[in-house]
Amino acid sequence: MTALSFGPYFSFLERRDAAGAVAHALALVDGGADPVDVLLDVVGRAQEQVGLRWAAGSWTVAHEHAATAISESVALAVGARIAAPTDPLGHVILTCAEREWHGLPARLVGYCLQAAGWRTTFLGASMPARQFARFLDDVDADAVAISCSVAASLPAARRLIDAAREAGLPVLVGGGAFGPDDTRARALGASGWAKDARAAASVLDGLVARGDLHSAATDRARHAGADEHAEMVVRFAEFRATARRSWLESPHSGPQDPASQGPASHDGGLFDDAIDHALHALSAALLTDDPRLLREASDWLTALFAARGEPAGAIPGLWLALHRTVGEPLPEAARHLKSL
Amino acid sequence: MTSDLGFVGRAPDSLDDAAMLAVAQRRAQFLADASRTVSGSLNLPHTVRRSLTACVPHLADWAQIMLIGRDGASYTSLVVNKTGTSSAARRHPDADGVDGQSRLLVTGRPELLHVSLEQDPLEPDGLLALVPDERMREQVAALRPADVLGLPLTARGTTFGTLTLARRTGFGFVAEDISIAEELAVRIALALDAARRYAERAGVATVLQASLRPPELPKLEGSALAARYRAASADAEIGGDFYDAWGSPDDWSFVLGDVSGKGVEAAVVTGQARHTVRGASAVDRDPAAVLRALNTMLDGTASGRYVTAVYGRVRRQPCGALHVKVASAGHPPPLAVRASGSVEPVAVRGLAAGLVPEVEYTPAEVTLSPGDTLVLYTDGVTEARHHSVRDGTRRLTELLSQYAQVGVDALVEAIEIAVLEGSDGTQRDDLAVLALRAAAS
Repeated sequence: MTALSFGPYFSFLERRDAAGAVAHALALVDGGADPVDVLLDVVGRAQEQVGLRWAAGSWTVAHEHAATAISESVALAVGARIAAPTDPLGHVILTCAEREWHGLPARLVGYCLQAAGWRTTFLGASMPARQFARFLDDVDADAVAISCSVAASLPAARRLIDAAREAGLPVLVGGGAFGPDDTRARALGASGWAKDARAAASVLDGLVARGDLHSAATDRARHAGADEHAEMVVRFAEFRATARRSWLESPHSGPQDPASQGPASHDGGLFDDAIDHALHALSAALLTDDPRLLREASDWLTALFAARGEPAGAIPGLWLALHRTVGEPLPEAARHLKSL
Repeated sequence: MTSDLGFVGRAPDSLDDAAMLAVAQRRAQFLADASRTVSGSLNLPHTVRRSLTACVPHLADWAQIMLIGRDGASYTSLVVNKTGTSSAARRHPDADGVDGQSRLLVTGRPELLHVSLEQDPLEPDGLLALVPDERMREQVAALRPADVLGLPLTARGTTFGTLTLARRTGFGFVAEDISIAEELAVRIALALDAARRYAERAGVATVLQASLRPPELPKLEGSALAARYRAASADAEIGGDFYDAWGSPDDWSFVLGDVSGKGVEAAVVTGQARHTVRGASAVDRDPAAVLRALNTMLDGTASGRYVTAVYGRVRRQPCGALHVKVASAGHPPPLAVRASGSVEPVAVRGLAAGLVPEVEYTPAEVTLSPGDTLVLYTDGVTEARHHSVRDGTRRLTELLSQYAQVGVDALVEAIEIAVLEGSDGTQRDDLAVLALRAAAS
């Protein structure tokens, strides 16, 4: 069979044509395509394009959101074509940590696992840890899968992982925020890491077959970075305010003041979002002891600012401002920022 | 297969201090790990399986847990063999197995049994009493000659089940093994007892909670509806905000409101308010009459709580427009979001319900052309973080203007995200949003 193209599907998202998108995706399945392929190679790939359109500034947040909502309903329709296993391998709970609003990737992984023979329950985006722990007491589950697309959700993901491991359930993690290898997954105490949705089923099978269900203490992060991460959580608002002032008022490294005219003036939220993004990346880097998170955040922000016509020096200036803000109280953070 | 050194109770090879200490440490570590293993969850079937995992393979080659329930005894077993572990579970609807174990249940003392090679594998003396299930008995028979140890599961003065362990012969249960097994049985019994009691309570709580949570929205031809609800207390998932929608596609009603206070106490009043509004609207759907009824109901209760709410009656015009007649009891005004992106508050006021005995409400009217949306929300949306209400309303208006042409599901989700992201991760107030749109023809 020829590879599926996401182009035609994407044009439905461009036009915000929900009915057309659903009909198109179902027609592919009716034409003999594997529903999992349609979900990953058409819907998933098109959603990557949606993210790029937003980053490039050619789509508004609302347009991105509308397209994602359409893809959610398409995923439900196509997923309904995947039979629920009569004799499941087990029951896996899929969820996203707080601050993670991208629920679609977890939903798609859920359908992959269902196709591989698992019974699945999807809890949705931004799940508080207490509610999650209660849910685990109420249902008889065999495994948990957590998806993180944004680094800001990694600290909250650790709470979910702790809750699941304490209950003796193996935890599979994945998603863009975990990076290219299992470093962050291990640092957060997960039992396994999958590099993409298709790998999830085999990794999960391995975890359960290993029978490694002894809940033994998840190795709590005890390195210096973990202490500094805790400090950042407590003082987040203070650090944000100080970094903002330091960045926006610096004559050499700051972006144009959002209050003045220029390309920035209509999009003051961009600067606040950039500061939050950088602080969350730093916080996650400390927790996982993986400074590559800063590099990823820097590349992402640089591309975003370039697309929005903001000055190129703004992002290095942002990191300098962060260094000025947290460098003294947080030496580990300072070290990471310096080597950026 | 368990290695010969695997069983945790084994006596040391030599009797020097170091060897004795190593064995003692191993036993202490085993009990500490096993305690964690069995007590991590409050889910009963999960805890049963975890308990068996704690016994096999470190304490025995095979383990079975029998629990006496309301509808008889249930048995679950776990065995380790050449292919790894496997389990069998079966429920006996009649209490046949309990009779066989009555000795154990009555005495509360461990029972040892030897199953020799010569015995009929499926009918060995005594084993039938401890292991009534045929498949499980086969698992034990495969270990012959085997030693079987039966232990009571007792917590808070009641023996509610048994733990049965089996080992291949040559690794029989010596006094130290039995004392470790008894120690472990105590921990397993406590964990299972907690899970059983949780299951009983949770069953009741879940039903009550579900009745206090907002109901699923109806599908109404010609109207698109979407809602979001998040309680501030994440553990209870219920709070003081509520909404509801019901009726036929051509003539239907909605309500959205907020009870003063938070948590379970407020949630109970939301249930009463929701049912009062529904009941009143069955008699007279006029918005002023419905809110008057709500006020009367609250004035008659001693809870001392008041409620702000918006109630509306929606009638579909032949052209596809929705005509909405709406009244407010001290609630933030609904926002009409036009397809063009302009946003205007619906000018409607009234006193919160439950403050004074007699109140008159004056309804307002608004017409939604196809593509127009009416958004109702509670103050948890506009008062998040340190914003003033005015600031919060301005932000909401800006957001809605951008989402005027986006599906109502995405629209209410965008509001939820904006509120939670804007509150630094700690949600201080309940939040409810309801959006209704005249579907484009």
